[in-house]
Amino acid sequence: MIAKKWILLNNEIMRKQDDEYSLHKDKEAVRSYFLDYVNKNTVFFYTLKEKVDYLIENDYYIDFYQWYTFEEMQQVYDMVYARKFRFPSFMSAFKFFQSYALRDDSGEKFLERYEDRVVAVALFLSRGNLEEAMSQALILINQEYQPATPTFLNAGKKRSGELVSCFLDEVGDNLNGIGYAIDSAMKLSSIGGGVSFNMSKVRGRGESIKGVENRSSGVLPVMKIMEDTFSYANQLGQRAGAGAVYLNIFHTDIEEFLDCKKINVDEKVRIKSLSIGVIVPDKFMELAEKDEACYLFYPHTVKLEYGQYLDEMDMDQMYEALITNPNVRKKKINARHLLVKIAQTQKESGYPYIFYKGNANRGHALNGLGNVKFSNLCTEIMQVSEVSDIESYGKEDTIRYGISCNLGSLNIVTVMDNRRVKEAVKTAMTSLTVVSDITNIEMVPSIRKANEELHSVGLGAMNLHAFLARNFIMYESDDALDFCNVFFMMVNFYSIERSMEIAKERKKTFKGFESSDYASGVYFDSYIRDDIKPKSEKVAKLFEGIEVPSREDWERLKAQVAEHGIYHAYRMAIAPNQSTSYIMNSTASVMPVVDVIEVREYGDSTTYYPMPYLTNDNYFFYKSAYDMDQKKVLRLISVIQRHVDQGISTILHTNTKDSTRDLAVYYIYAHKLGLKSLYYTRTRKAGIDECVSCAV
Amino acid sequence: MLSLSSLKFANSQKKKYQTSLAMKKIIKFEKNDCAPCNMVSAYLDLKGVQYETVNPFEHPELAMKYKVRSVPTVIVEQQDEILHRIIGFKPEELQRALAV
Repeated sequence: MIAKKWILLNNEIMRKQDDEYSLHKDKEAVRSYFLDYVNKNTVFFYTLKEKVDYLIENDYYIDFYQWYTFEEMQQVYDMVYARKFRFPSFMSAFKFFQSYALRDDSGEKFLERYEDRVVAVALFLSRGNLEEAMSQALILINQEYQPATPTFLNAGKKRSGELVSCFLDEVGDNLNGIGYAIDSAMKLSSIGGGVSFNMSKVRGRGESIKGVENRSSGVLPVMKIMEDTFSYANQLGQRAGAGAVYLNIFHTDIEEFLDCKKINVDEKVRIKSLSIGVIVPDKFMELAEKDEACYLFYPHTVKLEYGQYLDEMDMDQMYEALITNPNVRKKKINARHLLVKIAQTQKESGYPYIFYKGNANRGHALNGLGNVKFSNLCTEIMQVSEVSDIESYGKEDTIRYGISCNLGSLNIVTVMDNRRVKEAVKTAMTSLTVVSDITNIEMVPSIRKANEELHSVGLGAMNLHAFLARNFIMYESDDALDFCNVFFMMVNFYSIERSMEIAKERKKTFKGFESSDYASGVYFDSYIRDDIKPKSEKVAKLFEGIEVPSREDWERLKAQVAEHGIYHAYRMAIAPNQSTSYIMNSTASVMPVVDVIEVREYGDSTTYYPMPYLTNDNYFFYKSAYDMDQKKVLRLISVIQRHVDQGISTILHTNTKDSTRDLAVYYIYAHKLGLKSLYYTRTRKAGIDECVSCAV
Repeated sequence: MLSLSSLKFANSQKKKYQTSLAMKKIIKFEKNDCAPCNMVSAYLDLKGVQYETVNPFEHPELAMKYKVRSVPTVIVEQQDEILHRIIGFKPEELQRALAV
């Protein structure tokens, strides 16, 4: 085997000299990767014109000439190439060329460099508006904003998947409804989205069908079909389908639902590839806290008795009535035991996700339209949804809201460095809006309806930990809270402002704006009451030269929104972003890092990825998430959550010595802090190599 | 070489957070669940050396000041001048540096 030079150089990072890592070797690795691999495998063109024409004529790119003249395109290319972008680490270059760069049909030669992908995305999303294309290209090449993978990968390509990341829908409690869900799952999975379903309306095992008792087989068999559906409908074999299902914790099938993730469970009930999430209303947390008996309810008997779905009831109000009503079938359990069972399942498998329904709906600006009932594959999308009534042939279906969402993330380090928070947020919002505009999921009408009427997007952020470390701020510190409070308030402000501007330009708001908290002005109350400014001197210094919106600015915005409305029903959501954070040389999302130097195995080689902006001096500011006090991590997320209208993918990092009781404490703490969801729970295995920083 | 029993004894005798009254200041950078860190502590305790312990992840500013790159690191300082830096569990070096 011939050793690849760039891998060897990358591996030399770990060689310590005078007790210091040879971090500079990574730069040499990037250089070698380009000289010895990328450049040799890139199709060469004499002129830009030749390249653009070749890509269009050979069906790689869509016909950009329908929107731009060649000179206009050249202007964008020139600006982007003039920025002299260089990948700062081997991993970011490697990830880009491995997964994102356009290749010829044989798959052997590259047709794009990073700059070319950036231009293609900008030209595509700007639909002929040159000025807009220049701004879009600028935030991308500055690495201030990164669209989610489906957009960044597919934009501008002629043969490609959809641009949207994420779909959610309800499953109705009859064969038509279940059939519609499976049909949607197949179609959405084939175009590249992660799909999530709320199963809470499906009747439980042992319930009646057509009045005959004990005939229903519950939610698990439906999940089995879903699992097979997702593995069948992948995207041309390039990317596996991905799905999640959510179940309300008061649903009688909840215990089997959790058991399906256990490793030692019978193959017939085991669900391997589907993600699962539990919907937890406040009432359950209250019962768990008081250590009281808890009743689970058979959802079909509830629907028959009250004409309302169990899943849509306000459990705080209805719980007592449900217990005392003899027509509602129920099952008695212990709430704490169930919480421990969740913890056990998480320790074994990382699942289930937890969705705190009460928190998600407190402060939900669209309660006038409906409630948030569940979340998605990464627990950051939280929007109103309602089950559609699917009828038999010949009868008209009643289509209600599914959920569609496209995502993107700001790079905290670059937007702060370049002093361009406002510009980046606004340009990012424009970019996301275009993706929503040009998305038309015709084959699933409930998703299409939601996108057409609500125009939801999810702007998030990445690189938080590296930003803090680079400024010598500990992730768990009060300064970190202070920074996040101001930064995310700004993102919120400018995203609303941009949404208002779009509504004003187009004279169109999202449907139902009138009944939202944005229209009534309630949403702005807390911002007008409390002026958010950096508290500590250190944090104030970070914002030097950046205008932070004041109470008066919020008051002005409130008036403007009342006048013009806003275009997007939902604007922000913080996704976990994995691959895109590598390209952006970022720490993922707003989560702490796991390792200071990440070790990754790719096929025949091991590569090392030092965390972004790591130096031998700031090494200890990159404290591993596993070594952190999880309560402090949750505290930081809760501060960010105040400014985010949807959710944040929050990962708990635990160690093998943490008990299920410790985990249960985190669930209760997260709920108390107002977090809307918890994503995976990761457990670090104790081992001899645990001592990451030991030299000997 | 230290016997296991003496190590155990030393561990139970651990005296932390005691500033040395002598002119020389000894700081030990360590982290939880780190075997070599415990071995260094055991050795220092056995020799009756007084030292301060610092977890660099809790006090990264001190780690920066002393240019600590890994744990365990023992720093011997006299009037703001670093006399010795012993990285890892190296009994001979420790013995030489501390003259114990």
